[in-house]
Amino acid sequence: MTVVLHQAPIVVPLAGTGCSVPEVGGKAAGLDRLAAHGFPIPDSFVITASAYRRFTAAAGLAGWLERFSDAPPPDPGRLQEEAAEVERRFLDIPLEPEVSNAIGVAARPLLARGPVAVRSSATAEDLGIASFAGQYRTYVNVETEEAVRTAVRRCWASLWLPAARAYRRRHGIADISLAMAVVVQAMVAADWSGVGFSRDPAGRRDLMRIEVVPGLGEALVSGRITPADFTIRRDTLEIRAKGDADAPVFLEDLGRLILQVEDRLDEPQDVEWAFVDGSLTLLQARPITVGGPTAALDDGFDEPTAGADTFTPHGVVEMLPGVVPPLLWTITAPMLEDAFRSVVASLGDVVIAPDRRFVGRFRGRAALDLSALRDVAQTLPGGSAIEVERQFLGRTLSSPEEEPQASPVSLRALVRARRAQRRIADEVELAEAAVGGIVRLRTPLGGTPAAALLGYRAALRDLAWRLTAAEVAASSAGAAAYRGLEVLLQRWVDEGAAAGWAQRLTAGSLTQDAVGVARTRAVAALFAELAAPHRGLCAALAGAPVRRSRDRLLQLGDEGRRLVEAVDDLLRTQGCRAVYAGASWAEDPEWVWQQLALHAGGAMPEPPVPPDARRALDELMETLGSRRWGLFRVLTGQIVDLRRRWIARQAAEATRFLGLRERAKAALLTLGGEERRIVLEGATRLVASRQLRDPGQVELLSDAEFAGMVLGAPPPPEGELHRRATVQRRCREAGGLPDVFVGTPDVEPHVDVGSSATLRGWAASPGIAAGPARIVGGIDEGARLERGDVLVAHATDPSWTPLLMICGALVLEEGGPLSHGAIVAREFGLPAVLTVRGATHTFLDGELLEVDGFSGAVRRLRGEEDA
Amino acid sequence: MILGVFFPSLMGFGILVSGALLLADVVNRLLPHRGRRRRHRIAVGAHGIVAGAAAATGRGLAAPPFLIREFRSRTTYLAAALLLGASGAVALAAGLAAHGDVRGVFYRSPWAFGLGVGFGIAFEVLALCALVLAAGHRQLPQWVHWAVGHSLLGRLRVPPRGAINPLDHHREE
Repeated sequence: MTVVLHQAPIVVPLAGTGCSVPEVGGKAAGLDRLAAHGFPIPDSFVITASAYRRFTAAAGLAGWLERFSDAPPPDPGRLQEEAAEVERRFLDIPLEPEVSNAIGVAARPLLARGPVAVRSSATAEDLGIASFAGQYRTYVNVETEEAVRTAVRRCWASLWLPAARAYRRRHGIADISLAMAVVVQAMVAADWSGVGFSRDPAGRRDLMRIEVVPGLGEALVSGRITPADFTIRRDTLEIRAKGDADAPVFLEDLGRLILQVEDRLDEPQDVEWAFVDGSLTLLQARPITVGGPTAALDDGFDEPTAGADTFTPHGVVEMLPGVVPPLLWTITAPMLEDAFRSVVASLGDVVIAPDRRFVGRFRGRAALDLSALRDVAQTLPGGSAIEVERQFLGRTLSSPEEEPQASPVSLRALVRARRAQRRIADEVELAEAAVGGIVRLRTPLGGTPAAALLGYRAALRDLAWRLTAAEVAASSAGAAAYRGLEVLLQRWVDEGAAAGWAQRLTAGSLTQDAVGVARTRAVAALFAELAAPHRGLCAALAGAPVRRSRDRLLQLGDEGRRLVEAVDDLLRTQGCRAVYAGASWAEDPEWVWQQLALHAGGAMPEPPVPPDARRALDELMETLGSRRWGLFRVLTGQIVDLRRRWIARQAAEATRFLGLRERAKAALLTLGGEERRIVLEGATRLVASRQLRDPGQVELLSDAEFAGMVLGAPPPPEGELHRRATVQRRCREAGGLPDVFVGTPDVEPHVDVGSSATLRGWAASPGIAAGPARIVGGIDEGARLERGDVLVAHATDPSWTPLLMICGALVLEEGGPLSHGAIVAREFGLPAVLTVRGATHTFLDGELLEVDGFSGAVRRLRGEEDA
Repeated sequence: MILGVFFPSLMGFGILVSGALLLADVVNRLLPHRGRRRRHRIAVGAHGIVAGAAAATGRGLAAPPFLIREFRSRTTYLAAALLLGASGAVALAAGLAAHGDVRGVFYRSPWAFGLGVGFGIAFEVLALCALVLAAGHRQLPQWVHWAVGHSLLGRLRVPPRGAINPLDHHREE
C-alpha cells in the first residue's frame, strides 16, 4: 500500500517494517517495533514526516514557522489566541491532491470497518529524555475520509501550539528541525483500557504499576478520570490493589505482556493498552522518562543505582531528612557528591569513575551508597571497608575474614592525612567567619535585578560547597579518631566498656571550642539568653496564645519591642531548620515563640551542663590503675603518665573534629537561610509574573529550572508540576527506607513485637531512664512532649535540640554512632538508643518505656509495678 | 647487659618524652595566643568571600583595618633596638678586626671589610629606627604610620579569637 511521491513515502503501514523515528515520529516507530516483535496492535498506517514537510513548504508556511519559532513565548493571557491562530493557518490551506489522495486510499479500508483514531507522532516524541505525553493532539472516533484529512492537519498544527513549544524549550529541543507524522489507527471498542508502567515510576523497582479504566483510555491519559490502581510484582506477578478495587481477570496476562515488551525493547516501558473481546491490544509503548533508569536528575524521585550496590540512609538522613523535594535535591546532592570526592582526593591518589555516585535517591529519600564508600575505603592507605560499615551502621555486615588486606600506611599518607586535618579546621573557621559576615550584610533582595539575585546565589553556593566538604571531612576525621579511641581503649578494657568510655570521654564536643557557635547549644542558649533579662515580659507571654505573642509584646513598650527585635534577629541569623536552602526558622516563627513561652512559664529547663570529660578521664585512669602499671611507669621513666596522655589526646582529637562537624553544619544552615531568602524572593516573583500558581510550587522545580524561570524562561507545563507533586505525595506515603538494602529498597515491613516488646538498637549514650513514650513525627509536634518523656522519632536534626533538653531519654529509628542525635544525647547526659527499627510504629504514644543506654534495649513496661 | 644498658636507655627515653611533653605544656600556657598569622589569613579570606557576595548585588565593602599592620609595643621596639644595635656593633667590630688581622685569611680583604661595615651600619640604622619607634610610638608622623602598617615594623592585626567576623572591623561604603 506504500504510496511514493518524489522518492519519499507519504503513507507507510505499521507492520514491523523498520520505520525510522525521523520519518514516522516516535509514537509510530514504537508501534512499528511492537508489530515487528509480534505484539498485537490495531491496524494502523502513518502519514510520514515527509508529507508534513511537503505541506508546509508548498503552502508557504515554512517562512512563517521560522519566524514564529524565533519569537518569544506568548503571555499567559494570549495562549488560547495564539493556539487558534496556528490552527487557522494550517486549516486554511488545502492538502496537495497527491497527499490527499494517498491519505484517502490508506484510510478507506480502515473506515470501512469502523471509525479511526488520528494521533500525532512528532519526530521528537517518546524519546528517552522527554515523553511529550499529552503535548500533541489525538482525535478519536473519526468516521470519514474528509474528517481524517482535517484531523491530520490539526495534528500537524499541534506541533506549534504554545504548550508544546514551551515543553520543547524546557528540554532544549530546537523547534525548526521538527516535523510531525500522523498515525491513523483503527478504533478499538475497548471493554477496559489504561496505562501500564513496567517499573513503578514512583515506587519500588520490583513492581509494575497498572492503571485501569472501563471503556476507552483517552480520558485516563488526559487525566479526566481517576483510574483503579494496581501494582504487580515483577517476579511473581502477585497483584495488589491500591484501595478496594477488584482486579480484572486479565491483569496477570497484561503484566506478563508488559514484561515481554520491556524485555524486547530493552528498557522500561510506559504502555497504553486495551482489552477488547477477551484479548489484549497495545496502543502505544514508549520509554519511561520519569523515575526509571532514564530519569534525569531533576525530574524524578528515584536516582539510577549502580547495579546491586548496598545502600543505607544512615549518615545522610540527618543532612537530607524525609522526602527531599526536587529543588533541594538538585541543590544539595551535587554538593554532597563533591564533598565525598574531595575528602577522598585529600587522602590518597584514588581514581573514582566520574559516573560513580555516593548518594542515591529512592522514593524521594536520600541514601548513601555503602558499596561505593567501601570500595573507596579499601583503596585508601590503611582504609577498611568494615570500619565504613561500623561508622554508618553501628555494626558490620561482612566478616573480618572477607576483608581484603588493607593498603599499608606510608609516611606520605600520614603526612597527607595530617595536612588534610589541618585544612578542615581552617576551612570551618574561614567559612564560619564568612557566613557571619554575609548574614550581617543584610543584603536586600526586593529590588535586586534577576541576574544579580542569581549572582548572589552563586556566591553563596560556592561557600556552601566548601562548607559541605568541610563538614564531610570533619565528620570522617571525627569518626576515624573516635574509632581510634575505641580501639585504643580495647587494649585495656573489653569492647563494650571501651565503647562506653569513648562516649564519656568525648562528651562536650559541642562546647569545647571557645567560638561556641555550635547550633545545638546555640539555639538552646539563645532561648535562655533572650528570656533571662525579660522575665516580667515573659510572665505576660506565658499565658498568651502563641500566635499573638509578638503583637502582645509590641504593645508592652520599649522592653517588649527589644525582645521582639531580638527574636526577629534570632530568626534571621539561625537560617534553615534542617536542610540547606530548606524551610527556615523565619518562615514559621511559631516554634520559637512557643519555646520562649515555655521558658517564660518555667517549663523549659536551662541548657544541661555537659558531662565533664576530664573527670571521666580521671575515673578511667583510676579504673585502669594497677600496681603492675605503676611499676612499668617507673621502669620506663614516665614522669608524665604517657597512657593517660595518649588516651586524652585521642579523645581530644575525636572531640575536636566532632565539634568542627557541628560547627560546619551550623554555619551551613545559617548560610542556607540566605539562599532560602533568594528562593522565596524568586517564588514571589514567579507568582507575580504568573509563571507559578503559588509560591509552594517552587519546591517542585529543579535548581536549573528555577534559575531559568527567574531569568524569564517559560515554566514546565502545569501538568508536569502536578505530576511531581503527586509523585512526592506518593513517596511520602510509601514511608522511610530500610536500614540497609541492596539495589532497590523494599517497603519497610511493619515490625510487630507483641505486648512484651523489647526492641534493640545501638547504645548511643549511657544511662537508664523510664517514662511515657512520645512518638514525635516532626518538630511541629514537639509541643506534646513533657519533661521526662521518652522521645521516640525517626531521626533528629539540629532544630530538635530544645526537645532533647526536655525529654528523659531518646529512641531513634535512624542515626549512626556519630549522628547528631547521638552526640547531643551524650552532651546532655541523656540515655539514648539509636537505629531501633520499627520503634515509631511499635510503641504506642503514652505507654511506659524503659530505655537502657548501656545495652541498647528499649523495653515496654507493663504497668506501674514495672515502672 | 639488661640492667646496665636496656633499662637506663628505656628509662632515659621515657624521661625525654615526658620532658618534651612538659615543655609543650609550659609553652602552651605561656603563649596562649599562638596562631596569629593563621587567624589573620582566615580573616582576610573570609573578608574576600563576603566582599565577593556583596559585589554580586552591586555593593562594595571598604578594606578591613586588619589588612594594615599595627604598632608593636614600646617594649618590643626597645628590645629590638638593643638586639639590632648589639648585632650591628658586633658585625662592625668583626669586619674591622678581620680586615686588620695580619694572620687572618681576610687580611686587607675588601669583601670582609665591606660586608662587616655594611651589615653593621644596616643593623645600627634599624636599631635607630626601632629606638625612634619606641620613643615616639603613635605620636610619630603619618608616613611612619604607613611604613609600620605595611612592613614587618608593625604586627599583624587579627579580630579577637572566637569572634572572627569581617564586618566587625570595617564599615560598608
